[in-house]
Amino acid sequence: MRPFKIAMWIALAGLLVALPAAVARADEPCQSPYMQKITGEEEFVHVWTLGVEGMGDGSDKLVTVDVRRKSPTYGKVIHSVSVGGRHEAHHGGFSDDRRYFWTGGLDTSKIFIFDVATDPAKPRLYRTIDDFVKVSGGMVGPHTFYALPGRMMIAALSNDRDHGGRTGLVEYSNDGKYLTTHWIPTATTANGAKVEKVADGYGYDVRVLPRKNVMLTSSFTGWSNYMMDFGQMLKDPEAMKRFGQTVVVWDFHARKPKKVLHVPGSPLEIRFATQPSRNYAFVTTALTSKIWLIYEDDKGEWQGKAVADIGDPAKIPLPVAITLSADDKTLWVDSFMDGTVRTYDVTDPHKPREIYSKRIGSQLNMVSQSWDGKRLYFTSSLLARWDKKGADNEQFFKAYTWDGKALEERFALDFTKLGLGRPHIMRFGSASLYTK
Amino acid sequence: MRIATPAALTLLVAGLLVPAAWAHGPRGSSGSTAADLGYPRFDYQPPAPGTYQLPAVKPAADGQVVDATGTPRRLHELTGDRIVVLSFISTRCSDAHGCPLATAVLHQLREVAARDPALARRLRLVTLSFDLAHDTPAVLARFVPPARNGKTQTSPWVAVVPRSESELSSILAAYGQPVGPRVVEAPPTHLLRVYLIDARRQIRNVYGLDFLDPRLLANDARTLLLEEQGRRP
Repeated sequence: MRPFKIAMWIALAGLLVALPAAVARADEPCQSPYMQKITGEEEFVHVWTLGVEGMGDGSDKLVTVDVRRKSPTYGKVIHSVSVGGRHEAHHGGFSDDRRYFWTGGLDTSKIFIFDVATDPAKPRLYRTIDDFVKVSGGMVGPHTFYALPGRMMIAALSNDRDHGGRTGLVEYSNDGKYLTTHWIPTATTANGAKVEKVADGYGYDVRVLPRKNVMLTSSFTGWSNYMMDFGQMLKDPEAMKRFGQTVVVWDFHARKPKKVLHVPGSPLEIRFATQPSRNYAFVTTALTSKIWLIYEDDKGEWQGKAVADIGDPAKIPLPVAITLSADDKTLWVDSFMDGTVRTYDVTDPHKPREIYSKRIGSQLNMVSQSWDGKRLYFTSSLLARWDKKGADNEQFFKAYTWDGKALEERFALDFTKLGLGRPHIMRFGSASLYTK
Repeated sequence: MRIATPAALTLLVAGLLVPAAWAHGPRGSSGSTAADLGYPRFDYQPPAPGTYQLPAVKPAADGQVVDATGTPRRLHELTGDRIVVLSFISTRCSDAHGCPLATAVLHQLREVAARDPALARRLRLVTLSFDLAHDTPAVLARFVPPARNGKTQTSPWVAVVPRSESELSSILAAYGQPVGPRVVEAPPTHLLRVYLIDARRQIRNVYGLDFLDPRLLANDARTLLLEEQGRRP
């Protein structure tokens, strides 16, 4: 190829890459990079909701909220599809083509796959996988669902031998066929990984940075704890020892652990920076209330270090969910016990600075934000047996706008009054994905 | 993913790329590398061949197609005896995150294989068009690169297109390749997918935009080669 042609290609390519990037990404940040993205504003928010005995049909369900500003049903629940029974509905994720929403039940280990493409305003239950434990070699509690090309990576929380925290990653094809299982490394099964201090084998979240071929997993606790009454667990010293304290750095393509970082206090959600050449992720620790930075150092080695406290760690605010803005400048941290969201300026990721906080409710769990950072959504439930009791057991979905200085409520839905249950994870939907 | 590109932008992009695409003569494919196309830039050392596993995702489906000469072929004629990299494209797709990238990566893979005779002998590249309204055998004939690059024998590269919409739909469904409505005026919207298929016609890996690294493709193909020789991790 002549130099002129090469130069022309490069110039054109630069323009072509830049233009779609500016208009195409309007989705929730921090999702799988392999997944198709929404253009423009989200139209629906799908909420995977735990059923409550005696409330409505009592079943776990996928609830769809209309967030189209000009819609006559804006701010209303427009659809709900029950799966029958209570399974400890928790997390979920779209397939890479975004046609299906995979969700898990942490108690029964069932996987419910919803068709969100045929009618995005009215998802329907497409398929149920009920042999996850058996085919995966004993994994329990399908938690994070992370889209890969043509397949789904599922991070489990527990195992069927002792219902403790030892667990792994499970891969399925998009067709729902089990492919393989990768156990999280332990001291005796490190599989070649370098162990900083301990290797507990626990799991929670999974995220990939394709540019670096790095996959990170975090660590929570097993079925015996997350299905135990919260107050009872806090009084059980042995139970309180059974929380994860590791983040594992993996060779993603080979699915091999390379390093087990010591991150005490149960590191939960992992959020990689979005912008190119930023090789780091944030994770928060539930029990020690800290923001940790997982980053590649100057020598190419992945490290972890605590970079900020969340509120007063002595009061155990219990940070549970985070979201990092698409420009990597703002980190939102929800903490369950004080029902508060805190906003951090993380322009310097090594020195997060709290710039704002707001109490959203008596208890608070999940948070999702739009790509432009102007719209945020919150839900209240952590786990059926960990949620607060009595009047503090508020169960809500709340929508806010963020103008860079303060959150302003757009609308709120009381999931108890609506007879729906305990709302947990939210994912954005849009009909525009399937019609162009 | 073209689905996210507004119509006006699509026209702008298409208008910019058409001269470049046609600038490469009768082959019709650019020969540009993924790096030339500006995306993605991978910053890691791929794992060595044979040090990891590639579990079978599902069987690679058969289907009726025609090649660039108009000769009827079955997909299983093109798979089954070799390690195949199958790419679904439209030759008029101009999204830098789409078909041009896939084709550029296949070019790079072919060049890598040309320097590795053991790989070159076992590798076959297949480009399957889902754009029936545009990609006739005559168009594909301009797309297919020659088997010989100068003095170097390269892996065969076959371009095919289904003969009918029903045959196309069957193939797309079997592979799980998402493609939007087919229209005459523009290439169909689609999700970028490339498939690695072993000699037993099993899909062993699926690649998307953030995953389409020619070095990984080459090492995955070499991993299958080692597996054929009885060497497993």
